[in-house]
Amino acid sequence: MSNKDRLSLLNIIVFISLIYIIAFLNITTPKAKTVSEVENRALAQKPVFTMEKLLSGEYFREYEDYFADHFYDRENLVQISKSITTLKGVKREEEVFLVDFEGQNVGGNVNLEENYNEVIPEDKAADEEVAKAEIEEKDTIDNNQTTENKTADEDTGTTRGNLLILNDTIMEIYKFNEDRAKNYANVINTVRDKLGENVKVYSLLAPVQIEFLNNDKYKTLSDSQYDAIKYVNSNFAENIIPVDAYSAIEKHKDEYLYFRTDHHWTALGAYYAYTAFAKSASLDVIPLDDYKKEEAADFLGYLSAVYSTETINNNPDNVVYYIPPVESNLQVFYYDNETGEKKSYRGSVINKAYTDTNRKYYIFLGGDFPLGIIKTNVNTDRKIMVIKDSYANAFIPFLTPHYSEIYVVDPRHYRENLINLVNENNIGEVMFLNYILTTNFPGFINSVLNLI
Amino acid sequence: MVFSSLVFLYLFFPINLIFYFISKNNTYRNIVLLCFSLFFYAWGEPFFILALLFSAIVNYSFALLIDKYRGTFKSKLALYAAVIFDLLMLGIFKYYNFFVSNINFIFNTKIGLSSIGLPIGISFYTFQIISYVVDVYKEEVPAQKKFYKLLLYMSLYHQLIAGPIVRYSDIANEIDNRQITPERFSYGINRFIIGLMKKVIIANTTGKVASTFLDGNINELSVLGAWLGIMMYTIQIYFDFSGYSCMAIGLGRMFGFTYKENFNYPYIAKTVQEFWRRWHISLGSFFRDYVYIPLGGNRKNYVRNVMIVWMLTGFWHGASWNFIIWGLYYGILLLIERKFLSKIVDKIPAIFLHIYLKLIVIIGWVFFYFVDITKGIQFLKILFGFSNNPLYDIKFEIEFFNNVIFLIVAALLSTPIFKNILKKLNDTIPLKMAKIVFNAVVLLSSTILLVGQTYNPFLYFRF
Repeated sequence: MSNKDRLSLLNIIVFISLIYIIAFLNITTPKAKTVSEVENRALAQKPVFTMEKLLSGEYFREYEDYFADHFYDRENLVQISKSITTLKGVKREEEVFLVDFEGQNVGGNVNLEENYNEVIPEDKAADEEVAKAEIEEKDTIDNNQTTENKTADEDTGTTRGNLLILNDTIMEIYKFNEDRAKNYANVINTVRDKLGENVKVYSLLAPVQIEFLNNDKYKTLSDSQYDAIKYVNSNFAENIIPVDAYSAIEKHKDEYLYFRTDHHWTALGAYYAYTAFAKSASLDVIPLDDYKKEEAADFLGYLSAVYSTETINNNPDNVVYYIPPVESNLQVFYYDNETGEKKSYRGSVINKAYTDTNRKYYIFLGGDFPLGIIKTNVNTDRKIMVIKDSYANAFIPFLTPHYSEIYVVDPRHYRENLINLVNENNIGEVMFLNYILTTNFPGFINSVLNLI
Repeated sequence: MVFSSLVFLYLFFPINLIFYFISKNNTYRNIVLLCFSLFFYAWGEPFFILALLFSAIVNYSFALLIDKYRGTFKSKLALYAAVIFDLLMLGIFKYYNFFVSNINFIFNTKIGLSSIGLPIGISFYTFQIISYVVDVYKEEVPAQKKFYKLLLYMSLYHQLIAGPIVRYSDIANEIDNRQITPERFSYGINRFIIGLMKKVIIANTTGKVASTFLDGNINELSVLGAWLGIMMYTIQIYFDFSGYSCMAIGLGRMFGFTYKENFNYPYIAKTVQEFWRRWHISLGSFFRDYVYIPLGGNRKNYVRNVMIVWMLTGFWHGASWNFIIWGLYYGILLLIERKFLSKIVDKIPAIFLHIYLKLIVIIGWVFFYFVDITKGIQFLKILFGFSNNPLYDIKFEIEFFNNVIFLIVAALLSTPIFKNILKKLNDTIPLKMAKIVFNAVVLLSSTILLVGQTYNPFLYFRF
């Protein structure tokens, strides 16, 4: 045999061995894993064979996903792949990345409901509270899906989001949209009109952290949230009280007000917003020292699942939470997924069941749900309803010393009439609390409109 | 299924190899390949396999008729019938909605659109089978008497989905008689690996960057951002397409088939004419042999012929106006080049010609990319400074520095520079050893990147 043939054979042997070794490792890899913790999603499962699925091509598509999701040593390979990708550029003083991502209202997550069925890890099911909240969350997500699908058709323009990653911090980028902002104000005006004259209505819009970024160059990627909030406020009817959380936060902008790996504010950020609200609602501010401070370390938030770097993974967040000095109990209401029947369970304002999970923001109220009613032992007639997104979750514990009842409504999931809820319970104050990006999502506005 | 997928590399392909090489003679091997090819095709759209089979049966029969009635009018009739049938199939599946929506638009009618969808690879296999019946008629190849062999030619999974457009005459002998030697198989591996690298490492990565610039709101682009985006797309489309052809050629070699080259470093061309001799060669030669020359070629109605061919070339790429414009754009440029440039081309320094051609190609890709023509024109305005978009922005800066090394490497890889260096080094033993290591490294890193692409975080925090 000539040298040439020998080398050809060697080439063949190396190639074929690699293909068969990897194929073999793959076949023998156990496929039991159902959840990817890092990605926060269920892994594709082996498709069930039906003739219908086979003929539509769905069977093989699902099989391909299943094959890829259970590839040999997948999670490590994903990590290696991330580091390979960083080779394509030059290292600069700052690690900066821009990431486009598609939110849930665009394709990709069509199997949301199915995915979520799987995301209840068994070991946690023992803890009833967590388990229920997770069921709740699943329900929540289903609803999101329906609302969002609706709006995605109406306007696909803002379904893409943008993140700026600067060293150890991941930030959402805000883009002002005049029509949406006006629309947001108008919806609140409409709610205002339907409520009795004596009901006070507040609006609190929380800015996101890129506004306070200590770097003028990258800050320009985002539009001014100061102007945006001002614009929304200027479109409110006269009898709506805007809460100036912006200035309160800006005053403390060098403190730890926002998570670096998550899109939410910290409890401290929420506290400063609360001080602004106290001013608007004539409440006596309770000093933070009156709260018992605890913390849960090593929090890698949702944004780090979208994009992470070694720097980010090495610098997780700390979730500090403050236990209110008053007694309260939270009753959570949700709708059964299949029957639509309204059900409830007991939650808590600070839910420590989440301190050891990777969803530490759920410590606040235990996540999102259609309706939560908090009753406190505070001796007052004041009752408030908060119509909100998840930013309110860290905020609401600070309201407990001031109100006897707090109605927490997530309009994306709640299915009943809001005005009736206010009237029937003699609620005297209604606050809309959302973060600035919510003004850009028509889904939120539409869901409020559906409830009045 | 595509070659650059985990399920192909580590399930379909290894099983296919086993069945193929335990089959003792060529007949069994053909049957194995046919079964695997049909399965490969059915993987995505099991329903459309019927369209493929139907087309194969019809063309097989007409080719036999052409043969039977050779020399008579009936033979010609059979040829016309076959070609019309093929074009109708293509028309119904690929162009029906285009025609209907244009008719609806012009005459204000409300004819319903079809929801059948496009059978994958139909543009490629239809052209292949047309070349077959025409070649049979022209007596360049004998009609295939065995149906399964014709079906094998048409459905051979190496080139079924994304080309190259293989002529029946190219592989007619190899269907019956092919030798697989270690040298050929090894060469096939080398080509396959290069193709895999082009597709997975380069095209997929550049595609991601390109889309951050091209898919967003283009009014927010900076001029440099627009350039970076379209350059990334220019790289992506070449590596994607030529990578796929490379993998097809490589797979062919492993199984004993020789397919012709489909790309020859198109971006080093100096004129449009040269570019199209280097880009998607099998398509260009198909139009030359089966449309341009039958129309009269250079001798009769030259301008008309050129424009018809280029309109069709554009239209072949997709059923929308932007592709037609893209095709006509090249047709017009070819006419202009022929009229003016050809006389002075030798006097112009090469560097100017390179710049000229690259600009032409990049502008072409703008038309190709933006299905919405007004958006494409707006993008061109941005590129050439006829808009109020800023010259430079932070997004450009960030993406530029995060991709600059990659951009340079990819640009170099689109020239024959590495190939020429390797040639100079001769095929020494250390070099061959290096190639083997290179293959292993590319295979492993492509696999890792493919696994990385399955990373699909679940985002539900939008509110």
